[in-house]
Amino acid sequence: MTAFIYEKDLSNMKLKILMSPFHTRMVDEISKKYDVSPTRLRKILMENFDMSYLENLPARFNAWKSVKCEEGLDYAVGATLFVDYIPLLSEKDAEIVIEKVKNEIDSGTDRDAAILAAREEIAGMIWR
Amino acid sequence: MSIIQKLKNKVRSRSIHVSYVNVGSCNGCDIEILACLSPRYDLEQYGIYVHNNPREADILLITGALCEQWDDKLVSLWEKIPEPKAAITIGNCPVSGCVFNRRGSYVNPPVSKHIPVAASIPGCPPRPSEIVSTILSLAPEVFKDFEEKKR
Amino acid sequence: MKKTVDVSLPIGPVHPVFKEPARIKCETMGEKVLSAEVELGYVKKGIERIMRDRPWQEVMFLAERICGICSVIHNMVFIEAVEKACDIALAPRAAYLRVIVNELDRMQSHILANYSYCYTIEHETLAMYLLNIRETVMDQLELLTGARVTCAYIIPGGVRFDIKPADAEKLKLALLKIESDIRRFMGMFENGRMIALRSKEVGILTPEEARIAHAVGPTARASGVRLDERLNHATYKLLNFEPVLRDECDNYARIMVRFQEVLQSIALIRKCLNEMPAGLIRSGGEVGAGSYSWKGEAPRGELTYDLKTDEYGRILDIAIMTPSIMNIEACGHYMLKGIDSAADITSTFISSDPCIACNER
Ligand code: SF4
Repeated sequence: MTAFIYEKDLSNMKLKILMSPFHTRMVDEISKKYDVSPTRLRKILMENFDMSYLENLPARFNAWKSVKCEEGLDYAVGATLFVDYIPLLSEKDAEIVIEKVKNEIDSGTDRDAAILAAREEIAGMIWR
Repeated sequence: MSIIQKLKNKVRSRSIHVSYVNVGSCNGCDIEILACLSPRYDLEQYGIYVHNNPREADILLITGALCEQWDDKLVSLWEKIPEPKAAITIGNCPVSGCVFNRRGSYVNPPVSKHIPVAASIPGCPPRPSEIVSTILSLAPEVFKDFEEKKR
Repeated sequence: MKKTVDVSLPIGPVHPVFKEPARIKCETMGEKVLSAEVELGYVKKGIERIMRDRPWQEVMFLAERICGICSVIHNMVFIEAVEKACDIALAPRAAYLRVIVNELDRMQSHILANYSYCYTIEHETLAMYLLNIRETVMDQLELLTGARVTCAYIIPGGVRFDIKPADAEKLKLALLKIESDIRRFMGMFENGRMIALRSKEVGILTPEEARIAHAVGPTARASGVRLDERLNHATYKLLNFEPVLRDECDNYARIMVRFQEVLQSIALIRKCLNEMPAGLIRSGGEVGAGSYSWKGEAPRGELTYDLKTDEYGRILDIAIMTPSIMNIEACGHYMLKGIDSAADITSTFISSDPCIACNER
């Protein structure tokens, strides 16, 4: 008889990690910014990261916020956040999005509208 | 008493192998076990060896209030220890859950629900000297004439 | 993404060198580690949940029991956050006493961490020397606070006990012995050729990675990141505190930073004993409604308490971020990656001074 002794289903414990106050705040903030439901976001995070990573997400999120990279497009769209700090996106995808926003702004679209559209696109890439 | 039993008693009295496992403690009790290792208390002069390897242990020291991951693992750990064996719980946590046993917490004490416990040392945390003296007084109770008693 | 992986190597949860249960899953090619994962959940107690809606007198003891190794700093940061939330003045003498106890706690924690590292690289002689000198530090802690581990020494407005002149003399004598011993052990570590083979250029954490993972404490300072919450603390400012920095980024640097910080702590305690003003050790005050977010420097790095109290002194909401969270993550995902031998996995993990009990709360 073979029984896998050590590979337990960890999702319940991962959810417990994401229920702590700092995590709840972070999840709320991101889900509001990218317009996804918190449950959905939690599920994505749980699927992609191991437990120590999950524990560290608020610290990484704060680290990203405190870097405040030149208040530029990168920061507004949150591309670096999802490439370096909470790696859910590949670098290439992020570059494509940033390129696109820059072109849109150059061609006369309102900056805020372009940023919103880019955020939506990022959300689409992550939650596809 | 057979000669072989006498021999076993003699050998066992000076060679107690200890393994410790943290099933959800705050670390306070763990570092007090570690402190026992220091030359000041010098466990080895009593013939106690801390290996932290269940497969060669005689005595299992348990700290902590049993968290979710341990529900199944503690029993399998206990089964790996060869006979004769005994479990000692350190601190209030394995007995009652100490301060953590409140509504809404994730702990699941007492440890004795899962494995048989031979002795408990209360305290939050107990002093190293208490840990040493408990191991020393429990070991002969369990190991002396083990084979004859079993019969 | 599929990678070429020879073996998936699980270490733990019960392992001879781990003080606490954690499980590292390494994907290896030959002996080289390609990536590592840290699996937790072995000590998840849900302390933040049970802290809610309890009076501060209870939460104080719960806060201390988040981590038994660095219990003093948890006590200190929680009480300071409460003080700041409710505008309770601090007796000047007590501020110095707090620093003394906190630095003693830091010393024993750093010595314990270095003991673990030496034990892991199988240098048992040095490990036992360190463990023995740690007992001397614990004695001083007991002398001052009355308990070895969970001492609940710091209370709103001040501390529990004053230091008697005779005890101060004893403390000074003990510090002399600790200092000379630690200097000797530090020399042994610094110049040991075998130790260097096992520690130098193993487990590299570059400053850039340290910033991304937000590594803190000695782990970050060994990578040259100037991050120390003591720089923002009023009493430490009076003592002209300057953090210890090194730039080797490897296991060796992390251990050396801890050795140097022990010596620094000794100097700080001496300074406190000399500069301590006379007077009361407690001031009055009442815990009322308020909220505050306060950081302190634990032995392992920055510790954050974010709390809200109501007018009866109950804790309505509390969020805690402990240093081990960041350090374990930085260790698991950056330091362990690219290690050349499986034997270095445990020593690198221990060199970041992981405290699982803090991490999971
Ligand atoms: S008994 Fe006290 S010191 Fe020991 S693990 Fe429990 S809370 Fe920590």
